[in-house]
Amino acid sequence: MGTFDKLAKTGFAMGLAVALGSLIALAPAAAQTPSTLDKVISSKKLRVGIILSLPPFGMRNAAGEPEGFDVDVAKLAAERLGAQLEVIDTTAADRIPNLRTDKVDLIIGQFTRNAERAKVVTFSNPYITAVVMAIAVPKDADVKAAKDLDGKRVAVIKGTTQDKAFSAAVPGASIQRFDSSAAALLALKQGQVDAMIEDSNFLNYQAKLDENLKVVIDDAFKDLIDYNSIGLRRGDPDWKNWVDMFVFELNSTGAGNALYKKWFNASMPAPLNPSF
Amino acid sequence: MFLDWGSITSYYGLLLQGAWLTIVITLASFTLAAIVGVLVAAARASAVAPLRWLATVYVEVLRNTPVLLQIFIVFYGFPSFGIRMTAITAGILGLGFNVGAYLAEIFRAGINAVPRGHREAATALGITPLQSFIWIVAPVALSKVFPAVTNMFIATLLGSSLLSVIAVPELTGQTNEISARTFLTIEVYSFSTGLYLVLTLGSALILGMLGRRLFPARARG
Repeated sequence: MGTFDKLAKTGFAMGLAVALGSLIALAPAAAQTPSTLDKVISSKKLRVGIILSLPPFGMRNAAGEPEGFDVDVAKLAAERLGAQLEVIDTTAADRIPNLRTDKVDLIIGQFTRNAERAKVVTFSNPYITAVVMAIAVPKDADVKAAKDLDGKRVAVIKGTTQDKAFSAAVPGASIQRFDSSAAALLALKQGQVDAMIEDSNFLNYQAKLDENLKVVIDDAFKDLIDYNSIGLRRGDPDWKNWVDMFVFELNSTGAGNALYKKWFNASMPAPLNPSF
Repeated sequence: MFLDWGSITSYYGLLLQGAWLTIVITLASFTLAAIVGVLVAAARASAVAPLRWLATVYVEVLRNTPVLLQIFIVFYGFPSFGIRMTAITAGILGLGFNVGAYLAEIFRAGINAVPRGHREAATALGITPLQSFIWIVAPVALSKVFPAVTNMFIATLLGSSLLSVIAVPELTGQTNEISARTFLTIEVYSFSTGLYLVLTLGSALILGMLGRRLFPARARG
């Protein structure tokens, strides 16, 4: 017992030291690295982070292979680069960590650009639009606007634009933060929450698959449009330039809209150009 | 890669709230587990055969399937049978019943380690079986398995992090969320790792002291 105690005491002190050390450690300077563009071209390998729990943008087919709108966009990008595509499954919350820790070269995952996020990652020009705040509720629910969710249990996804916007709009709701849209949707279908907030693209598709769900778009938020972009690491202008050019071609040739039609059988909810 | 330790200072409150919820969940599920453990251990030692079989099935199923799936079943599966509860309750039940299966085995080992002579002496002195279990068998059994019980407590504390997947804002849940919101991934995860170390080693220290107070003979030996 005695040795164990000593160990525990030492360990306890070490734990305190780790916790305190993290308060006072200083920021080391960033190092200069070659452009991801050159790296992708020479290695012929493109690593793309895609949210595979977000049908129909990212999902797995019966064979376990990734498919969906974002996967198609990633395939096009790899094709243009002459590289082999490696899809890395991610979650909404892990998009930025995956970029920051160099696990992926791009995030093609319905990434909404904003000034806050742009402090830590770089965004391309937008490649898809969505109505930010759509509400999914069971078919018989009496919900016409966001304020009807006051006091109700509402599922959102950690770290998303919707979480921020909805928490501010309806502070009285009991907000439950899930890791993925799939988990939040399951909670809604099983009655563990009364409503779920996601963008209109995701929810309209889900309501099409499940007739017990309906999608409500609050008039106050219907003009709030997300311009979702491809995410990149900061400080790589060559790579950003290439991705912007790729997105420009995707939009100007109509290839992007054709993909949207393929997956949603509709046009994007707002035009991409102008993107403001 | 730049690290920005200064910016996480404004999130200490949320992280400490998360740590507090972790403590509450751990205590609640461990209490449940202890009750389940005693009952199941008693059932496995029972003279009634079906009771023994039932307890064996319980222990083997719960110990040989992932606790994460058990938590999913309670939270996402039970509503299909009309059983609904909050994420925290579902998590405490899932974790508590799982740890209960392990504790049952630990308690059983402890009971088996009590020399048969103790019970025979009790019977000879006219002490009822229940009294003999509570006052003679249980204290000796617990003293023998106390370190194993301490380990299970720490396993429960660490296991409570699984509840983040059903949207419980305990320490891991808060950490994920703050990381997602602020992108201070490395900073906030290292801080929370330190907090977990403080919690686990703190528990080990407290339980060690409790063990010495409860079982002084064992500490001297």
